[in-house]
Amino acid sequence: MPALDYNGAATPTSNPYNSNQVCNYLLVGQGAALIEAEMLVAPRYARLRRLLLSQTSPRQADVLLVAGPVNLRLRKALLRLSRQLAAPYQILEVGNKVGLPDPKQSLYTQTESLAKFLSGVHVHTALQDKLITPPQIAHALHALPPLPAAITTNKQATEGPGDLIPQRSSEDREMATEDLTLSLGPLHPAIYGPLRLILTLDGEQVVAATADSGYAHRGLEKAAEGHPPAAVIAYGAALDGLAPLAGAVVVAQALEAIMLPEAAKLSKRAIYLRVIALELERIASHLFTTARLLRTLNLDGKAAQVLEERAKVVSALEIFIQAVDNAAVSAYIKAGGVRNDLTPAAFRMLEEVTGRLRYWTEQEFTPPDLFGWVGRYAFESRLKGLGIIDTDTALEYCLSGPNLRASGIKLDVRTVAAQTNNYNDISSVYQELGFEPIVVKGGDAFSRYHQRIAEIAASTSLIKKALKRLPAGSYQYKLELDELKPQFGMVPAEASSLIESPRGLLVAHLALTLVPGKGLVVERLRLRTPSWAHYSLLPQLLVGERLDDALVVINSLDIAPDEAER
Amino acid sequence: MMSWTEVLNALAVLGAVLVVAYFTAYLDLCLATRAAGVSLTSLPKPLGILQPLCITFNLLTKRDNRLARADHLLFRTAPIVAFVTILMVFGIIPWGQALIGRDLNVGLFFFLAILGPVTITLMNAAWGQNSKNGVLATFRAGAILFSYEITIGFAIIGPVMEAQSLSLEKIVAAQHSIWYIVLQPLGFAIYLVAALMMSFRPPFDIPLAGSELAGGALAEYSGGRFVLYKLALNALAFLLAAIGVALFLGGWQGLPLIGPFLPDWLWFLLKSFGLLALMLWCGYQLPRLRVDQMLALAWKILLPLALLNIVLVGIVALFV
Amino acid sequence: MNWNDLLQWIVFIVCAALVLGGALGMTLTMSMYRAGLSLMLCLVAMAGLFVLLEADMLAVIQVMMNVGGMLVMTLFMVMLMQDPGGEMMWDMKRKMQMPGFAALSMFMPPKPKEVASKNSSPDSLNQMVAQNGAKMKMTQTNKSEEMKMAAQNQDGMIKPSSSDPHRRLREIQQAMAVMQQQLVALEEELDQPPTATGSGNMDGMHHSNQPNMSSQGQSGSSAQTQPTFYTCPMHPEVRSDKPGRCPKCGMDLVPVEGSDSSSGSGSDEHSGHQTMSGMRQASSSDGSGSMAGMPGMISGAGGDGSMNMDMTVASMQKRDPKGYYKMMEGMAMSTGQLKLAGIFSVITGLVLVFLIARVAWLPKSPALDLDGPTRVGDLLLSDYMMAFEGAALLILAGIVGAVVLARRERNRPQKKKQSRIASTNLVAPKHTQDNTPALSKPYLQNFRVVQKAVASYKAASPSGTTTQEVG
Repeated sequence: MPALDYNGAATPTSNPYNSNQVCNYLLVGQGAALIEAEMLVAPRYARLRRLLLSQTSPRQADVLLVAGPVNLRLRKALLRLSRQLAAPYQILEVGNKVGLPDPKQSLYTQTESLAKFLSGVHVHTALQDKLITPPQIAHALHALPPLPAAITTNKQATEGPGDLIPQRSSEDREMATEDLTLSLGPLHPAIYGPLRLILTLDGEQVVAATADSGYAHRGLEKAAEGHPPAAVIAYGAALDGLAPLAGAVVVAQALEAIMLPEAAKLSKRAIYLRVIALELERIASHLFTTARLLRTLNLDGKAAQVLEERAKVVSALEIFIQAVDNAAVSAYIKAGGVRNDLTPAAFRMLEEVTGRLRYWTEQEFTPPDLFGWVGRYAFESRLKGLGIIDTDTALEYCLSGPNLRASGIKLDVRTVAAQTNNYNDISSVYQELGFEPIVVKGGDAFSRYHQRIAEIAASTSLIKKALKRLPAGSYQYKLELDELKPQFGMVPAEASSLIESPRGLLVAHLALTLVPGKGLVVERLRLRTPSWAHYSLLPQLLVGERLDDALVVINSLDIAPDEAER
Repeated sequence: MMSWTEVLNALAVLGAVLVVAYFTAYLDLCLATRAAGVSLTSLPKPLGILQPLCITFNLLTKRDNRLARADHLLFRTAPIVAFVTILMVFGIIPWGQALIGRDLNVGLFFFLAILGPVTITLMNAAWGQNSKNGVLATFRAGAILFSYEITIGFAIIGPVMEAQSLSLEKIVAAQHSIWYIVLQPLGFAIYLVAALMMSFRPPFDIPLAGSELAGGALAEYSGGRFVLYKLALNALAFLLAAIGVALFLGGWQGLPLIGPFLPDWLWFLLKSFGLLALMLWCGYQLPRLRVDQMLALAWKILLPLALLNIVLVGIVALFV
Repeated sequence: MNWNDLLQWIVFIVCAALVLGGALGMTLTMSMYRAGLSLMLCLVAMAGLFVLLEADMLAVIQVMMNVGGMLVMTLFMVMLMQDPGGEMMWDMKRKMQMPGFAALSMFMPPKPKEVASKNSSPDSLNQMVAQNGAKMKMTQTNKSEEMKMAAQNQDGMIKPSSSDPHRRLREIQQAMAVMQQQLVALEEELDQPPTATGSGNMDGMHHSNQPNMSSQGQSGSSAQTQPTFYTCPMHPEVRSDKPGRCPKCGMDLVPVEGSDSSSGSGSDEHSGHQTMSGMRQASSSDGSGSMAGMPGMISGAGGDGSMNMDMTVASMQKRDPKGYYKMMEGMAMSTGQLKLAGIFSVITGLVLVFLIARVAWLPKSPALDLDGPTRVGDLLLSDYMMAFEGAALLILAGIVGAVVLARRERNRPQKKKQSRIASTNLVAPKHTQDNTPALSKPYLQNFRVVQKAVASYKAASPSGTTTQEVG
């Protein structure tokens, strides 16, 4: 594999950039959202975008790019989708073993290649067990064999569009309007990740909605059982592709609560470093959600600018945690501390990024800058009053995170000292930094949009303060996990911990037990994910909205299907 | 009289459609790339002028799908009918002095009337796929038809009142002293918005909404028919800009102060692409409107303004 | 005659043909959407005639007004009427391959002509019905197979013979018996809850639900039959005569009913596709699919015997119950009113001819100048006053008729509308459930058509004519 320079300076001859073959791809799967965010808009892939064009319809795609793990339900959906492609086409599967530290453990995730189920079409598999970056995908796409020659005959009927028009039944002949049942997802261009909703439409208005989950379920908690304690952090990190660190931290905290001796304290420096990483990740995630909302509104240009910012934040994060590639992000968090200390280069990078972000948030992310108030009015009219969650509903459905605070409830786990036996509580650091939860009133999509932007600003200032007050000391606990001898017998030792992930309240409950012959293993891991609560509210929230508004509402809630379904 | 010159004339119009559609695609690409914050240097040299061609060839290699359970007559003819319809209207564009396919004395009216069926073809394309998204796209396309047809109709009455003719040649000729954009800025603005609606461009690409309806009316096309439909839609966007130039920007005449130091057809092309770029750029800055918002804009704001414009133009025509 | 005149003639003929074709298409199509489009075509082509008369302005007005007007009408029709697409009907037309002019329409004359000229004796008829019984159990057939069978009938053991007045009756009676069996079977089937893979659980795609299209749904509908062979859903070339696993991919083999002849000549690709996916039957759009007919239709319109009774009945089973139901639904809409419409249109035509004959046909001064609209308007309101008013009245009558018909449809007994709240379980999308209504009513409706046919045949048969027609 030749070294590729994707900054466009000197390109070797084997570089796919030099081939002039345009590739239309349709990106689906659990990893699609992240890859698309990188690939479509990040400036460093501008040259890539010339040749790799994302399509929204399967009819115009050359390559169906399946990113991330495929579970059994999603596989059926993919089989159907592959029949809608126009010949000649190929299917490229990337990273289908990513998402679980050990994919063979899971009963739900398919580890065989799709090629087994699709004969007669060209299925290729690449980069099975790595997390994927756009250049890698570009390379894999260009490494594909040439498309088979175009078939000129039109004899063979292909799969028609899925949604046939329902015929009216004879018993239902009153002059009432007829409902239309529309399946939104799991592979819909405006929905990120395999999320499916079955909408009943009256005209364009949603009269009923049903959530159909299960396309992203990987059996993460079950798969974690039986592993040694050191491995369980990786399962927490696999929870959410957009925020691996939050999952890793919450599991690590639970682990520390069990394993570390009663008197032991994590060094303040380690917690500060964790806070910086978490806040950077929160900024990146919120920027991504904002961009996703903007793209739903067809504001691709503005979304691109936001995603550029995100790319900078992500690269700062990568430098901060000294990640070699994406796969190493979660390895930063270790039980008892973090993997590496803050380097001077990372310090400079963080200062630069926070400076930029301050500039950005001062501009208040006014996305449409056409004629001032015209653009602003158009933008607000698409968001205001949509998907209103009042405080009662928000509490009733156990919402958390920005969605809850956008409904006017001042609750942020970062300021709440944990009620569990976790004595190395991260909230004390937030209190030291003088963090106050941000609350925006209104509860509609516009409030949620503003909530996220305000939280980006708050996180920026948190990072600045943390860098300023970073205490000296060790960044790791003095002993490795293996050397610890926790004092309990066959009764499982349990601990919970909670954290404010970018999407809300993330709780991990971990039980370790001593198995003769195997030593200390994970008895049970339970993760309470914030997106699941938002997902369950979604059907109720959509009723009464129009179809185009419904997509705005879905994207304003920031539901990560892989996180929700674990 | 029917003669070979007329056949050549028609062929020239066809060639013009293909050329301007290509450059419209290029302009669209540039603007979309700019809107995404990417500089043009990332496009293939020179300035990515070959990029639409690459994309077109790629699309042409795809098989033209026969959908099962589709209404094939409607689905398969729609791009062809759309293209032919738009081709017909290209005949009345005044490219230059005496450089016009056919100067109809009801030219402008012809333009309005013939562009109605383009929407119909879009509806056919959507209906023909026999899918639920298609049905929604059909109703969307049908629902918005009148809003912009009537608005654009009232907007172009202004120049007609000034020039006292429906012939585009005569309207252009009547602007030799002063362009109508000076006299009727309101009418020009209304025309621009309505033209954006009529060309199904953002923020009014409601029947084609990529993110909501997964491509809407064009979702099920592949191969040559998709290319043809894209061609027709690009030609439509250029057509609306060109008519706007003929109506408000003096057509093929040079700038008033500088004078005609360029050939007249070049002036016309420059102005048309300039206006097109303005339209498309504005569109990319705005979020996609909902159907009801677009209808409210057309009926509640643009139409009264257009009526006001007519009154103002009448006053100007009478007293100035 | 110079070129110009010739061209004018050509344009005139083309426009006139389009006008007539559009009018015919509008009256004959079952698709509301297409009907509106046909009317639009008719009126736009009329604008072409105006252009020939050098009345450009009028032509443009004609286009502008009518495109918009017809569009609104189409939308209203689509929104208000049953089965607006008429999709299934067009699908069927392709499969029946009705020759000639009738192929343009969905006009189904209920009169058979020499249907059974291929079938001679009662024995052979019984044989045919027995064959039908076998064929009914096939879920996957295609045209080549049908043609093969037809050819077999023609030059094989069955000799064409002169007509037997009672043979036709027996044939219909036997067909009725078969249909009754089918009715019972279908009703039983509909009472069963849909299986998870069959209709409920659509693994929605990009934009896809396809109700009731999976192989399980079909094999369910013919579960009582003996499968001929088993094949892999993914590897059609894998065939086995006992259930098991595919040697290539390990998936379970699915039973396929029917003979191997589905891989007949000329449609290898297609049948391969059908067998492979098991997703779609009778779906071929290029006419090579199964000749799915409909029970109510006794004969092809062309009268060449390309459709005959046994095929009609046999092909009933080739649809899944819902598709079958939809077909009946569409049928029920047309047959009853078509006769009335025919009478009405004949009267209308006569009135129009009378009105036109009364006035001078050609304009007084053929050289219409550019001030055409005024002249045409003058003519319309002077010489053509009667025709003009007559046409307006006819349009009015048409609108009233449409409303009356719609009202009549509406006044049929209604079932209570289902609750709009979607069930909260996460399995079955709603529309697959509420589109499986009781089959009996429209089915029986068509059944009555056959009964009527039999009755009229009985009434006619004593006259002893040889070529009986069933009215």
